Formats: sequence, structure tokens, C-alpha cells
Amino acid sequence: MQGFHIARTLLAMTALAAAAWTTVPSALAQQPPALAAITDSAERARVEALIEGAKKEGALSWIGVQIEPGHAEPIIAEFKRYYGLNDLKGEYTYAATGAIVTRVEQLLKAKRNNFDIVWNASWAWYKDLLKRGEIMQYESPHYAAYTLSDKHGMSQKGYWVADAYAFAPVYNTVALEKHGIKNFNPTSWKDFVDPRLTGQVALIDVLISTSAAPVLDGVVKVMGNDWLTALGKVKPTLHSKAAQGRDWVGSGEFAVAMFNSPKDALSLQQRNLPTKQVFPKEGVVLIPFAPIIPKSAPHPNTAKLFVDFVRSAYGTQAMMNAGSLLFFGRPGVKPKYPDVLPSSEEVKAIPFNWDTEATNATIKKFRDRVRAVGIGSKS
Amino acid sequence: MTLAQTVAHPLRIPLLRGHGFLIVAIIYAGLAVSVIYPLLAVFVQAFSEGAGLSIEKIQEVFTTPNIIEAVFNTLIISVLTVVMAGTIGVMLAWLVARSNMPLKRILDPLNMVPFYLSSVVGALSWQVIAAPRAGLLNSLFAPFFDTPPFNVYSVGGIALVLGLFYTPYVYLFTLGSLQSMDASLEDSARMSGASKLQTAIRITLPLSAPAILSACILVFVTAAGIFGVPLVLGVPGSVHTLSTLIYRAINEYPADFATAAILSSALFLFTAIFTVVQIMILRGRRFTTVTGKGYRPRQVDLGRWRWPAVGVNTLYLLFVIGPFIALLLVSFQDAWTGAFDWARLTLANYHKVIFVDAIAKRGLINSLFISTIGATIAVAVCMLLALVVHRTRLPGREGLSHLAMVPVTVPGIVLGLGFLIALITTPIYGTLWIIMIAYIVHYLPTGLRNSESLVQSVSRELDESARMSGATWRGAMWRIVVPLVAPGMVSMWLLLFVTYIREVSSSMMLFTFGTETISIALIQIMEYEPYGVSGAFGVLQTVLVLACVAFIRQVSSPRQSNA
Amino acid sequence: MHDARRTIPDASSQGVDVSNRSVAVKVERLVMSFGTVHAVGGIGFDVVPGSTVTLLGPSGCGKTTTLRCIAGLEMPTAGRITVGGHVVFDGENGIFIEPERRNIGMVFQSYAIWPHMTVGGNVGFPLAISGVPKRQAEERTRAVLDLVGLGELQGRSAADLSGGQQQRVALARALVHEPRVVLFDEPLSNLDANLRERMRTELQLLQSRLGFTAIFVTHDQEEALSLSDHIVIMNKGLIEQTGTPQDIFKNPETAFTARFLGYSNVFPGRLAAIGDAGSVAVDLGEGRRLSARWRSRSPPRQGADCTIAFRADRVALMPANDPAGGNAFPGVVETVAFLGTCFDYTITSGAVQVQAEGPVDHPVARGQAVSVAIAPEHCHAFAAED
Repeated sequence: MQGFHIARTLLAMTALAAAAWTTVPSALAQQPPALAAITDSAERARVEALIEGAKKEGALSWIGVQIEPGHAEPIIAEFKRYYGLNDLKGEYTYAATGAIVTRVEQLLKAKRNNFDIVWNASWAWYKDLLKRGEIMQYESPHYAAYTLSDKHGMSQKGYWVADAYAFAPVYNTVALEKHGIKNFNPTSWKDFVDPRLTGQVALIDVLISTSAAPVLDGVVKVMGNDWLTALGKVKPTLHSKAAQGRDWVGSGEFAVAMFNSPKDALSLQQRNLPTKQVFPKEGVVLIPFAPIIPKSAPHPNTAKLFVDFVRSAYGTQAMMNAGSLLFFGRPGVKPKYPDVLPSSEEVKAIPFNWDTEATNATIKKFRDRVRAVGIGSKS
Repeated sequence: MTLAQTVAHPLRIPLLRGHGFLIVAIIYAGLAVSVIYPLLAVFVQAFSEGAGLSIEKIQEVFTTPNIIEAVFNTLIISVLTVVMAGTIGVMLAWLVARSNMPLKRILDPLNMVPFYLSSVVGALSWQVIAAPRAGLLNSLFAPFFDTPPFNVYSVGGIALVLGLFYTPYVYLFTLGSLQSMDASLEDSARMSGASKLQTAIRITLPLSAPAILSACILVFVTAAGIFGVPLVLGVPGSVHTLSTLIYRAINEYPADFATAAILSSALFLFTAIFTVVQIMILRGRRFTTVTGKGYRPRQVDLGRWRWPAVGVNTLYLLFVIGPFIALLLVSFQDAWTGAFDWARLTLANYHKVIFVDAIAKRGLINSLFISTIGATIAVAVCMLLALVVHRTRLPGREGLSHLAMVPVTVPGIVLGLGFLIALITTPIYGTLWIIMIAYIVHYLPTGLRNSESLVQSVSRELDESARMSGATWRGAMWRIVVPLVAPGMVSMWLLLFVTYIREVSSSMMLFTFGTETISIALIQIMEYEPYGVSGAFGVLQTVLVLACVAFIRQVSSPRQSNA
Repeated sequence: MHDARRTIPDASSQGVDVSNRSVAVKVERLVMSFGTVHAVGGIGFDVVPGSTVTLLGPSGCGKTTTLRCIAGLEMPTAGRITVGGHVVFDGENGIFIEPERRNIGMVFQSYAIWPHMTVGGNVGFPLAISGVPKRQAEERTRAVLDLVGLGELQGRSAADLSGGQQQRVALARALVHEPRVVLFDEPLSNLDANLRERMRTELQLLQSRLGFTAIFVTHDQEEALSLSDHIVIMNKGLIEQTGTPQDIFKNPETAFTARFLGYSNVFPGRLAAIGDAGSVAVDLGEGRRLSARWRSRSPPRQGADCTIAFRADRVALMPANDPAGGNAFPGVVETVAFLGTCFDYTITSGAVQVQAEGPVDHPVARGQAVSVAIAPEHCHAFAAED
């Protein structure tokens, strides 16, 4: 309800601002809200130059995951308004994490990259792009406020700061009751390897997904190897895409979807399905999720402005309000749906080093352990 | 047409003669670049690592447990699909062509409907009714079984959907062969003392065998390389096929082109060997069983089995169309909980795919563009090839038709990978044209076979007499042959159009953002949207294709279905 | 259309030889309709064992349909068919014996050789179906192939046989299971003239050796005349006339029969006078008048329209005004064609054009005035056609 309230306030402010413009002289009326907020003259000149460049470029092409097309549209609209880029043609392409990597890599290989913003959750790939010099160096002034991102080790100085999302369990109360499981009030990861759940658990395919494997690895680090063994005993069914787990737990095909993102939990809840999301007390692994500008971006000025926008206090809140259920890397963003998404300051994070604990070698080693407890084998 | 004749009439030198060699050479070069080069690119990628030969990598790939499992899955799926499509297709064709089954006039066109439907949408629909726990069928049978009886997320589920959707291929080929067969071949068996059943098994079936076998090759190769259905039904249950592993290899980070190429080569060898074996079986068995005498083939009286036969045919249609109805229901629900719920009735899903999701619209427009232009180009290319092969004496013309048949052995995903490897650094990559060319090449055999039989159906004397009346080669072809086969060309265009619209495998390898086809859009939407939204898009796609087909059939002459 | 005027319900009265009192095939009141079209309009005839009967008529006359009804390949609308004393079809009692249980052999016009089998496989098929032990079947196949002169082709693929070879294989296949009756649907029409002549003789030899009953269907009168013991002429689904070849050829009963058997002179006329013992006088107009024999079953009526027919080889060309030509009229030779064994003439006499044949040793020149003479017994008069 709080989120809703803030949205209303914002809306009112916007309306007021709009009303104010119509009354002020025309020279001032053309000044976009972004410039109005800047006091520092050097910064003002910098932004003005970027806006000039962006007006010439006229377009922004953005590819990403997590932020659904329906949520990206208001963000782009708000961005255009904020910088007065009315004629900008903004295009958002939504794709799965792996698909983004594949397609962007293919475009880079073909030297035909047409994306200005890549917003993915693939740490190793970003590091690789960085090494290959494919990422444009850019330090937005707003990066300084991304203290949580720095704290969790999700920032790359001069290139990006990150928000995060996390996988947490969702369960279907009707499906549980159908299988005779009542009074299921889980608080811990331990509750989700309950033997009574055997055959009722869907788990994202950690043998395939490069983002899910480290997440499970992180949980196992906190819970211990016995927990992994217990997980093997409930015989989880693996699924390749997150949406499958969401739909399965929603329709009651499975009683538990072990790894669900908050946005999926919200989508279930909004459709009045008998599902509940739990953030276990032991914590969750935060998956870094950052916008970068490829060096070959066709509209660099627009891209930089866009990064400024989505890292600013105003932009992050706009994103949250539009439905991007993220743990933002800066403090102060008010969660819009607190029951599926705790605030970034409150969420308990399992410490995880994406540089050392999510390498190909560690993932491979971990997958062998997963196979050893019988996960992924047909019985 | 002979050399002597041409010399005797110097004014009537056919255009092609002077430049004959050149034109044949250009066609050869075109085919080599579009057919052979991509395949070679896959092989080179498969066998080389850096500069050297990569035997170790190949060994490593083929000792990986889930790859071995995928090879077996692929084999089992292909075989089951062929057996199922073959059995049902032949049975239905026989019932329609040879028996007095009632309601044939209605059932015959309905049996072809699955041909126009996308098997990916079919897989999506089957998920709705046969998911192990929340599927409609399983909810229905739940009281009678301890464990859910139907599990669509399995090898059997994949083969079931493929079998259902590829039945029309066998049906169409067999029906054509049965309908054109000289009725006295069967009558004489009856006169020799054979019963109806004996005649069907010992005479009718063997005589149709070449047609049935060619349909089966097509279905086998397609099933072995098919990508969409295993992606939808196999991956959730961790049932992998070679095609899904190839896709995965390309979509991992870092992309493993070597593994993809090795698996593709293996898949290609697999389908090529089967095709060659079947061609060898067929060699010398292309009988001409058509005669001019106008007996309608005799209809076997099924007696009291007449209505049960209708039941069998209807059951097949139910298996195909039933799930679509379930999908239709799902598309009007805000969430699917295993049964239709009036409280969940909504139009939001349609609103989303029509107005919100840009990819849906893009996929639709792209597919219509590729299919319309592509089918037109393909018809022109195939007709030209057929005319060169059958209506000229140019050297090397037979080789052309053999070369153009090569893609019949190449699964779409392999061809797609070949195009990707070969063309990624060219300007054509990332455009709709690369996808269109891949389609044209992939279905060249279908088109060529069609256009060859069209050209052959026109008596040579018709265009020869045009030549004798003073027409050039081009004039004779353009004014005599082409108008005569025009209705057949419309059918052929429609066939290719529908085939292109449904294509998944090679597009999956070649699309980039902005060039998604309708099937890719569906798969992408299924990535993140709930059943209802994917269902709505599946329903829209199906309605659109059926409307296109109905419209074109209406516009072109109505009686051209078996040209 | 159900008019049974031309049916022959009782064989003995229609001159079919039934001396041994048994009948190989008996067709009674056979009707075959396709929708509202009657392909066969209620016909009947008998076939004596060991004889050859030919159904002769133009295409569409119902002869093939009749044959297919006997075979069991078509379900007749009404009537009765008996083969070898067994009723194989009876419309009233709802009897229909499936073709494979009628023990009839059949040679099809297209020969219907199964291209997916060997020659031996084709011929041995009926034996394999009836469960004859393999070795015995092979021997019998070999024997019948020898009989048709194809013994050495037993193992060859049937897909690449010549027309004549296919014909023999089809024949061998029809004979191998020793059927009582063998049906031939235009068996010689697909062969060239030389081969046809030879096959015709061979067929007759085979039949006399094996003694089967044969029913032919053909539209070729020459073939019918040379092969048959008995001919059934059909027209529009009905029987026009039956009889021995000589009988029919000499005494056509209808103008249709006459025309179909190659009577090249068929003219309309009027009955001028009626004499006794069937002799009539026919007025051909412009003073031309011929004496003729009345052939129709209905009695002649003075003054009624009629048709007169005579064969070209029965016409004698006399010098003009030769008093010897009693039954004659004058004309002028219009065309002359040399045919090797005879001359072919067209003589114009007013509105009438007469075809005539003349001996090679006495040619008549073009433009010459002649007298066209025909002996009255070779002039056939019929009631006028509808």
C-alpha cells in the first residue's frame, strides 16, 4: 500500500509540475525536468551536451531480462519526458539471460551490434566483455550513491553498478493440501526439503542455467551438504526457464517452485492464485543485474543519459513503481510490493563472490555434486 | 530441339542455347553456395579446432552421458513418429480413398488441417491437457489411477505430438498414390481369389509403398531434426534431443560452436544414412500404376465397420483439434489452474499479445513477409529448375535436380547452423533475407518435386508444337507450359507458404532481435509469459494461418487440392 | 429403360447351343444403374461351357459393366447371375458372392500386372492366395508360363515387360488356378496389329487345349467374329442381337447391328410394297427402288419409313442400263481407291452415295456411269430407327 501511495504522490507531483510549466514563460517551459534538478553548472553543461547528442541520435535500443516489456515501456516514456526527448524512438527487447548473451555475441562477432543498453544478469560474461574491451567506459555521477551495490561486490568501477534480483521459494497452498500437507509455514530453506514434498518440488535446471547454479551453490554453502542430500531425496523436477516454475506452481502442477524471482511471485499473486513467496531466514543469493553500454553502441549519448536516468534516485523509484521488482543497489528506494519484495536494506544476503565462486570450473564442480545426490537423473 | 534442328532454323535459336552453359553453371554455383557451402561450414567447424584436427573434442562430446542419451532419444522419437504418422496416415488414406466410410467428404479436408497448424502450438496445447498433474486429461482420470497416466513431458509425449502433426504428410502422399492407381490392379487380385484384406495388404499397400516410403523419409528427417516440440515438451522434463542440445550449445556462454557443429554433423549423418538406405530400397520401385482408363477405384464395403471407421478418423481429429480447444479455453483465463473457471475469464491475454508485446506483432509481420516473398521466389526458382531439367537438353541438367534434392536429408537446425557459421560476418546476417534464403533452400526439394511433376504433366508435344509454330524456348515455356501448370503453381505456393510460416528449426539459429518469426515469437513469449498469453498468441497464429489458407484456396480454383 | 424387349430369357429359343443342357454362365434380367443412368438395362444370355461368347458394342454400350458384374467387381442393381450352376448374384434374394469366391479368371484391358512382383509372383499369386503348397505352386506357375511361352521369364521383374509379354502374363495369371470361366476385357486392344493376330490364334489354341469358358468384351467386330462361338451385340445397355458370328453377319436384325458389323451402305427409305416370305420393296426416293428381305421382328407396314442396308462387297457395278441388273439403280463413279485386294468406289446417285467394292482385274474409271446392283437376299430392310 505504501508503494501505491508513493506512486500517487509522484503522479500528483508530475501533474503539478506539468501545470506549472504551462504557466511559466516559453523559454523555461522547454527546459526538461532533469536540467531543472541540476544545480552544479559543470554537470549541467555535461547533461546538456548529452541531450543535444541524444536529440541528434533520436533512438535508443535496449535489450534486457527481468524487466518485462510491459514494465519497460513506462520507464522509456518517463526517461523521454525527464530529458525532453519527445521524438526519441525507444525500443526494448526482452529475452532470457542466455539468449541475450548468444545474440549479442553473434552481433558483436558480425560487427553489427545495434544495442545501446545491455541489461543482463551474467556476471562472467560482463567480465569477459570488459576484458575484451567491448564495454564503454562510463562513470555516471549517480554511481556514487550505489553503496549497496559496492557493499555486495556488484560494482565495476568506471563501467557499471548493479541492482540485484534473487530466487526464493514459492508454494501453492491448495496443491499442498491436495497432497495432504497442512500447516506448512516455512521460514527456512530446510522446510523446503521436507520428505513430505517428495515429487512436488520444481527446481530451475541448475545443470543448465549458469545463473541458477551459483545460487544453489550459495544456499548449500549456508545450509551444508546434508541439505543438498535432502534436496536430492525429494526428487525435484528440473525446468529450464523460470517462467515454467512460476506456471507450474501457479497451476498446481507442482506444490513448490524452489527458485522464483519476486516478479514471478507478484504475477501469481496478482492473478489471485493460492501461492506464497518466502524469503528464508538464512538469506538469499543476490544476482547482480546491471546496465552496461557496449562500446559499439550506435547511440552513445542517449545510452549515457539512460544510464544516468535508471541509476538516479528518481529513475530507480520510477522503475520500482513501473513493476521492476529489484533489490536496487542504492538505498532509499521504496518497495512497491513489500510482501513479495523486501527492501534492499532489509534483505538478508548470502555472501557470494561472483568473481571467484561462479567460474566455469566451480560451476562444473558444483554440478557434479548436484548429480551425485541424484538430481537430474531420471528414476 | 535437337542440334540439327536448331542449326536448320538459325532464327529460332532458343535463348538458353547460346548461354546454356553459362546458365547451368550459374545455377550450379547458386546451389553450391546455398546448399553445399553451409554444410561444409558445419563440417569444418566440427573437425577443426584452431588450426588442427579436433579428435579429442569429438571424443569428449560423444562420451558425455546426456549426449548419448540425447542420441537415443532422437532415434526413439524419430522412429516412433514415423511409425505413428505412417500407421495413421496410411490407414486414413485407405479409408478415404478405398472404402465406403461415411462422411468422407467432410473428413478428407479435415484430415489435412493439422498440416496447416504449427506443431509448437500443438505442443503447447498438449501441455494443457496432458501435463502430469494439472493437465485436463490427468485431472479427468485422476480418480482411477494412483499416478497420473499421461505425461506429455517425455519421449512418448514428443513423439505423440509429432506423430499427430506429421500424419497429413503420409496421408497426402498415400492418398494421391491410391487415387491415381489403376483400379484393375486391385480388381485382378480379387479375380485371383484374394479377399479385400489380402488385396489391400498384398497389392494396394506394396504398390503405394514408394509414395509411403518417401513420405516416411520426409517425416523421419523432419522428426530427427525438429526443434520446437522437444523444446516445449522435452526440456521441462529434462528429455533432450540432439536438436535441443545443439541449440543449448549455441546458447550457453561462451557459445560452444564446436559442440554444436559436432552434434549437427552427427545429426546430419544420422538422417543422411537413413535417407540413403531408404532411397536404395526404393530404387527401381517407382512404378507407373496410372492408366488412362477411367474406372473409379472400387470402394471396399466396410459393412458394419463403416461407422467404427468414422470413429477412428474422428478420434484422430479429436487428438489434434481437441487440445487446440483446450488452448482456446486457456487463452481466455487469467491463470490456468487445471480447469476452466468462469471467475477467471479475461481478454487480457489477447490484449497483451495484440497491443503490448511488440515481439508478437513483429513476429507476425516478419513471418508474413518472409513467407509471401519467399514462397514466390521459391516457386519461380523451382519452376525454372524443373523447366531446365525437363525441357532443355543442356548438359548437366540431371545433376541439378539431384543437387537440389540434398536438403531433404538436412535437418533444419543443421542447415540453420551452417548458414549461421557461413554468413555471420556478411551483411546479410541479421536480416530477414538470411532466414528467407534458409527456408527456400531447406524446402527446395519439396518445391522441386512439386514443380517437376507439374512440368512432366504437360505433354512435351504441346510446347514442341509451339516451337514448331515459331515460338522461342522462352516463349513456348512462358505461353504454353506455365499457363497450363498455373493452378498447380498456386497449390505449390500455398504449400510452401504454410511450410515457411510454421518453420522453427533454422529460424531459431538465424534470428536476431528484430527478425523474429512468428514461431520464434511464440517460443520467446513462452519463455516468460504464462500459458494464457502464449495460448492467446498460439490461437491467433492458428486462426491467421487457417484464414490465409482458406482465402487463397477460395481465390484460386477450388479443385486443385491434388494437382 | 427397363424394357426387356431384347432380353433372351430362354436360351433355347434364342439359338444358344445348350445341347449338353448345362450352362457355364447364366445372366438374367441384369440391371446396373449408376444413379439415374442405366448402364445395363435388364439383359440376359447364357454361355455354354467351353464356348466363347463375345459382348460386342460401341463404347458406353454396357458391355464392360456386364462383364464386371459377372466378375463380381460391380454390384448390379437387379437381376441374377449364375456361374457354373451356383447363383453368384441375386438381387431379389440379396445374394452377392465376393469376386474372389467365384472362381473366375480375368484378363484386364490394362493387363493389371503388379509391378512390385516378379513375373512368377504375378502368375503364382492366385495359387499363393488359395494356399497351394509352395513347390506345387511353383511347378504350376512354370507350367502355365510355358504354355503362354514365357517360361524363361519367371524370375524377371514384372515392371519392365513389353505389351505382348504383359498380355501373356495376365493370361497366365487368369488361367493358373484353372477357373471354369475366364473373362477378357478388350484383351487385344492395346496390342499392335501383328501381335493381335498372333494372340488371337494363340488364345483359340489355349482354349481348345484347356477347355475353359471364355467371355470377351470388345468393340472390334473383326475380333469378335474371328474369336467367338457366339456374339452378343449390345447397344445403350440393351442387347440388339445374339447369334453365331456367321448368323449375325449374314442376317443383322437391326440397322444398328448392320452398321456396327461394317455394312457401309445404310439408307433411309419407305416401304413401297410387301411381298411374301419376308420380301419387301423399298423406295429410296427419286425413283430408286430395291427389293430387300425384311429383318425386323415387327411385321412390315406398307408406306412406313424403314432403313435399308447392304455391304459394299455385295454391290455389283454393271455397265449403265444393263438389263441384267434387275435390283439396281443408276449412278456415276465419283471416287476410286485401290486397296490391294480390291477397288473401293463411291458412286453418286442423286442424294444417295453408295460404297462399293470391285475386283482388281476389272477396274471402273472415275466419272463413268454405272448401274448399282445388289441381289435382294443381300439387301436388308429394317423398321426405321427411332
